[in-house]
Amino acid sequence: MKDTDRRQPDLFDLIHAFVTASLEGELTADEVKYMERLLSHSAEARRLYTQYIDTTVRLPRALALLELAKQTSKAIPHRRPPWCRHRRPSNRLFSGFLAILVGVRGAS
Amino acid sequence: MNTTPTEQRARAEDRDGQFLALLGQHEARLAACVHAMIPGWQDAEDVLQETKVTLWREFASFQPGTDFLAWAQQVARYQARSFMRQRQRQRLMFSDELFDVLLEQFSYTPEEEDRRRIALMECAKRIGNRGCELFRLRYGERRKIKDVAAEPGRSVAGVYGALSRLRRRLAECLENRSRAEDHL
Repeated sequence: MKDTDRRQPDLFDLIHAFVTASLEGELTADEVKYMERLLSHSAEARRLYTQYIDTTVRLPRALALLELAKQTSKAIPHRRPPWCRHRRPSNRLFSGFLAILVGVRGAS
Repeated sequence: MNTTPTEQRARAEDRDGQFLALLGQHEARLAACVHAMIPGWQDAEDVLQETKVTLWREFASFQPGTDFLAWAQQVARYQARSFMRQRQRQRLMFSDELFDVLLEQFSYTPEEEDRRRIALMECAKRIGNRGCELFRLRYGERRKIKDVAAEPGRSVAGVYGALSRLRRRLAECLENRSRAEDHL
């Protein structure tokens, strides 16, 4: 068993389990009552819970936008802007510099 | 003076546009508020749909320039109570007192709204392709864990654990970004 499985469940685990049961359609009245008590007494639990819900609601939209961005970048052929077309010589400059170094060493 | 049919149509289109713009601007936060108030995901989705229909029907009573989200939240609260009462599911709902306290967590500015959206996009990028795929199946397509686990090489416990780890990583990323921005 991994260490993460052995540790005590924290607030995040409780909220994750609660929202998972909600998404699965398996939430019971007792679980709702338990969460009501937890959220009523802990500001940190309320902050984490609303952040978790907010993220769960927004996540599909964020993923759809990421997917759209991927598809768009595939559809548009990647072209260098005109001012980047002649950037390659920097590599040539580097290999020239190497050749000089090797030459110097070879000569010595 | 009586208005012509053309003027009436133009006014109605203008009203449609205003409504859609306001709903588009506040929809994510309204959805989050409804889901926070009603823990059962499907119940909350149904209430959200009914709320949007009511908002549209009652939009004539909305005063332009006032707080659309506050108005929408009040409509949602009423819809939630009546929906859950009709289905005798009030026991699967938080109290009004808790809902008011939770609502405070959602009272942030449009700038904060933009910041949250961008932060989530940036953090979702760091989850990797496999993580994004798991999220897409689970939260985009709303598949149950056992259905996600039905694919080769996956188990129910494995999917639950992977989602838990990914969600924690996402939450930590969002926290770190929020903390870094607070220090700017």
